[in-house]
Amino acid sequence: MDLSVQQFRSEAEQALLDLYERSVDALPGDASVADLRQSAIRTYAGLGLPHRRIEAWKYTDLRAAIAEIPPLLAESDAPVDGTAFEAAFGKAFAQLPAYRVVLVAGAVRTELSDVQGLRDAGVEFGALAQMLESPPEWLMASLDAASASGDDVLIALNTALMTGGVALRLPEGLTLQKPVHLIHLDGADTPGSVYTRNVLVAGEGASATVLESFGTLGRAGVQRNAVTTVSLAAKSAIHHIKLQREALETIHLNAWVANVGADARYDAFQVSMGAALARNQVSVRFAGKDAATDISGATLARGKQHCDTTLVVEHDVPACESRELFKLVLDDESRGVFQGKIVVARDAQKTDGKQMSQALLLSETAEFDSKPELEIYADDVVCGHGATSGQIDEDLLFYLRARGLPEAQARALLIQAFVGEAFEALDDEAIGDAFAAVSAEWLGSPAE
Amino acid sequence: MLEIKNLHAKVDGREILNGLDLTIPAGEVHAIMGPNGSGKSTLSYVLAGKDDYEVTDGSVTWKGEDLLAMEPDERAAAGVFLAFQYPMEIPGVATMTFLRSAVNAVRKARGEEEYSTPDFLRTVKEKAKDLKIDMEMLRRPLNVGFSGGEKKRNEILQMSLLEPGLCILDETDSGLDIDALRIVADGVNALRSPERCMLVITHYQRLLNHIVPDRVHVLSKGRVARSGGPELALELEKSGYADYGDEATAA
Amino acid sequence: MPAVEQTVERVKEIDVDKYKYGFSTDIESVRAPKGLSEDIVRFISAKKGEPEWLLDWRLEAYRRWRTMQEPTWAKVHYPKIDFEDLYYYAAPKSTEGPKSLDEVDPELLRTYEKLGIPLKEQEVLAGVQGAPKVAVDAVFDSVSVVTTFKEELAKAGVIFCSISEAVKTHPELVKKYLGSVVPITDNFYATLNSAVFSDGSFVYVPEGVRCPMELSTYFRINAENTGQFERTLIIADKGAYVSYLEGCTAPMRDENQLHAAVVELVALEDAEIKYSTVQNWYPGDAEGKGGVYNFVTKRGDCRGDRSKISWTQVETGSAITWKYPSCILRGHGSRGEFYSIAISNGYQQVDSGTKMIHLGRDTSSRIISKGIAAGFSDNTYRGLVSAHRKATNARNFTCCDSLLIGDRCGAHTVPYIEAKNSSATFEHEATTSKISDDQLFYCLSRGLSEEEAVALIVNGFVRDVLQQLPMEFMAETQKLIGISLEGSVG
Repeated sequence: MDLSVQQFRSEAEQALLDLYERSVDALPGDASVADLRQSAIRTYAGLGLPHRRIEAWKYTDLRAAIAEIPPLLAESDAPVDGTAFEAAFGKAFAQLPAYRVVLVAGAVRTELSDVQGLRDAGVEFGALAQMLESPPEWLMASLDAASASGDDVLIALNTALMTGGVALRLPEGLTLQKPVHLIHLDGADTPGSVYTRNVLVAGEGASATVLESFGTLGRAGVQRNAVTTVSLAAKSAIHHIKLQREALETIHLNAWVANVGADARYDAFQVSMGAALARNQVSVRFAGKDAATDISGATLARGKQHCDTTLVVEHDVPACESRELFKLVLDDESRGVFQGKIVVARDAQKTDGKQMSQALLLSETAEFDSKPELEIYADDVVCGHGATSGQIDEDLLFYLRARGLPEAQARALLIQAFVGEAFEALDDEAIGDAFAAVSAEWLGSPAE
Repeated sequence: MLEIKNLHAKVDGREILNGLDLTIPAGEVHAIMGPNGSGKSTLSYVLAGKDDYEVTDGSVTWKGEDLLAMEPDERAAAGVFLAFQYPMEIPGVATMTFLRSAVNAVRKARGEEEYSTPDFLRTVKEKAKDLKIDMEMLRRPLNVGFSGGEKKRNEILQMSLLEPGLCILDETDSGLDIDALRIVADGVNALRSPERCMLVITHYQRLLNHIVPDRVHVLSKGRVARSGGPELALELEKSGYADYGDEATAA
Repeated sequence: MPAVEQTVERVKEIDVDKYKYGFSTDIESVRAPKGLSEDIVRFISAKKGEPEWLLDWRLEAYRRWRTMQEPTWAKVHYPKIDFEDLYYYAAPKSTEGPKSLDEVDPELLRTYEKLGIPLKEQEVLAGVQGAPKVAVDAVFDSVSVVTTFKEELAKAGVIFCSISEAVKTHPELVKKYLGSVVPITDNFYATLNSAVFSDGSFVYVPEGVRCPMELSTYFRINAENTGQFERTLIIADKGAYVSYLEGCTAPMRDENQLHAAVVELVALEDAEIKYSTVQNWYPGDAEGKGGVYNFVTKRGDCRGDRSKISWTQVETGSAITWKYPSCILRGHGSRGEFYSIAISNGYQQVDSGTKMIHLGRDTSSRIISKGIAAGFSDNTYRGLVSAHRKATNARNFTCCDSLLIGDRCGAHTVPYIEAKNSSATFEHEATTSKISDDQLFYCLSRGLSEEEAVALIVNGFVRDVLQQLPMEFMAETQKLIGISLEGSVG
């Protein structure tokens, strides 16, 4: 295999190729999947790890950040139970009523998962590793579509190395009453890499809430690459929610890719508070008219954490609506990055796209970098973006203190109010309360 | 109860208060009047402990303690309450959440027990009713989208909930129509008691028809230029502040 | 609304579909041989009788340039430029330098007359009573041909001359400040400019002096296949004030002309520089053939405390514009401003914006950008606002609005916002929309033609920026906006 396109290769970049070579024979999938992997690793070999000279990675230099490539984590039978969930996500989250699916190293831990409940509710569900051995047409279509995205190295690496995850299809007209909660819990005593792919397909008129939470087991750092593709047929609706609370040694790379049909609605909500380096990508492409998306969330960072949220919304067809609202709270020497791009294609008239990112810097040494972008080729549109950066408003703080709130409490209240605006996107009360609880916990537990 | 002696204070390097003396005994209501720029609002902020207001000389003693040494929240706990001229809007914080946080923080600092949820709700409901405040308003984010009257009534509600010993009302009448003014004044009057003193800051005499003061002081160039009974306010209403260095009125 | 009426009047006057300044002038010129080499750099330097230090400076830039790559990050597309197929020096033949206007080639004077730029001082004086004086430096191809009002300015202590002249008469100032804002290593085009710059304006306003009149430079590219590389250097010493305006035109030619200028501004303590540009280089024809490549580096250094630099630009011309007038806010309490109107029509491509680099305490900046895209054009705002670690209390407000006219054009906004200081307060907002049908209908029902209505609405859209221009250029600019949008509707 000719992998010599890229001239220079860092040790880690080479190590990734070696990891692939070493693992390829054991990776799940039939011949068509193997072809996809092969072409994806070639894409990676040509591009290498993204670095700051790549515009989309200007503020997150992955080549500089990744020094070593740990081996793929093996499936384990490490004991995982309720206490592990609570430790990883906090009580409110661990107890959320949902169809729970627990993934360790990408493998579904059936004894902890309510797979039967999902199937009884009418959902077509399978562990990805098994399904790749003879992938149904809808799964293959999703995999092909993700590969077609071309130069996204994060996704290419995921395609090449994915070991597990789930595939989930909602048949036409099905409305799931409880959320699906995909719990990714990983870690061991030595560092490891985890590559998971989740595939969500919503049939016409189907609707569901899908929660993904990412947490850590064990002590050593994990390099995570998790991709979820979401395909929404006409009139379907998916509310896709994420909590990332991984250990501070983690490198968390995550991409959500949604393709939204006519009259469909895709809402994404993410809160990031863990990992040393996190990159959260959400890209939404409108493929049918009168569809809508709301992407919102919050980043809570302290210490030396680096958290990058990169959103792309492509209005390829007329009359779609997109809304984005992200809040970043940055303390100590943390760095928050927000990049948001709205692209309106030539014929996507009557597009309505709005985006807002707001950062609250709590310390002199925190840093916020933002690049909100509009790329517009149609004239009958209403598009806009805003970005603000600042510190806590001293006048507000004084008002609260004059009413008797001690300074720390007044600050916490203001920070929570700041973040809370983004939480309004959550219409499920239990989920909203769970997020309020984890963010309150974050606020109440400053770094050591 | 409150004793201000020779108070000097600067804002942005500019001296605003310039040797102010004022004593308010328990149970009394004193009014401070004066032209724009005479230092009325500065006095209220200095008493509440705002950061940018630097006291360069003098003292303020509240119930025998050095008020100036306290943090703003300690002052609130000690019973000092400022009704803001422009109450702050805080999106994302429900008014009710704010009220409860404040009341419990103050009670805790005073060594009192925190309210239970039903007790608190009952208390708020009662007091809100007197001020004609709708419970729906209290579910909205603090002061966001409130009318001028709603904001001021909300201030008085907070005052009554926090049970202060010193109430400072900074231009509470500004932006109120006559009905709203009456509601606010009734709220304030209901709080008059022998254990409590009040400082009512206003530019116009109008408010003092409703909240009748024991003493009136005229502030000019950062100090008390004249003191008298309630009749002084009426006199000012006629003559204006021309004698007290207000060019706008003098012209 | 007199301004609006005026616009409508002006739009009516315009002969349709013609670049008004598209004539060329037959003037004998001297050119260096095509292509670029050390010898050409030496030739240019020798031709101008430059001192050794300046030649060395040029050669260093040239050698650096040879190692550099053309930037590709801007959202513009054009065939690769063959830098060996260009003339790097062209000058009207009588380059000894006219002693007075009488010695200037009458053909040249007629050119400026056609452009509506008075070079004869008495003409300016004979104008409307009370009309403000404007001192003009006229640069034709690569050479400054005349500078007016020199004596009157000299009385105030203001130095206003061509940069070639300044090299001879005020070498200490040129040596001290040239390249101090845009170093020779800065970027591909600036480095190229440093190697081959031919002429440009030089302004020095001494301590405490408020420049008694508007200063202005008119640039004109005439010769074929010629790159224009002028270099402008403006220094406002402590407490000084100067307002400067540049205007640019070029003849209609089928091939593309390269314009790679560098402008450096230095404001010392309490000084203020106001720099306005009305750029109307030939944009190419209706099919996108020809036109000027305008690859310009402009940067101001607020070097002293409380200094202020304000950029105002009206960009209507050029096939491609690549231009980011920037402010380095180094002095404590210094302020930068950027006001821009960028109009693109036909096949024009604009990638323009600003950088506000906050380094000092209590620095503030303001960005107002109005982009209007019509026809098949692409119009991009690209800007950077950054506050460094020590820029306590830095403040920025940015507002970028784009207007699309027609559905074959593109309007893009690419702001970069970097806050490394928690006390920095940044606010950025941007909107993109089209001219509202309701507004348009209202205007039409009051008897305006569609083009008039569009010009009127666009002039309203850009009003905030127009107001920043020196009074005497406002009317002209409004007219220009009307012309630039011709053929964009219907």
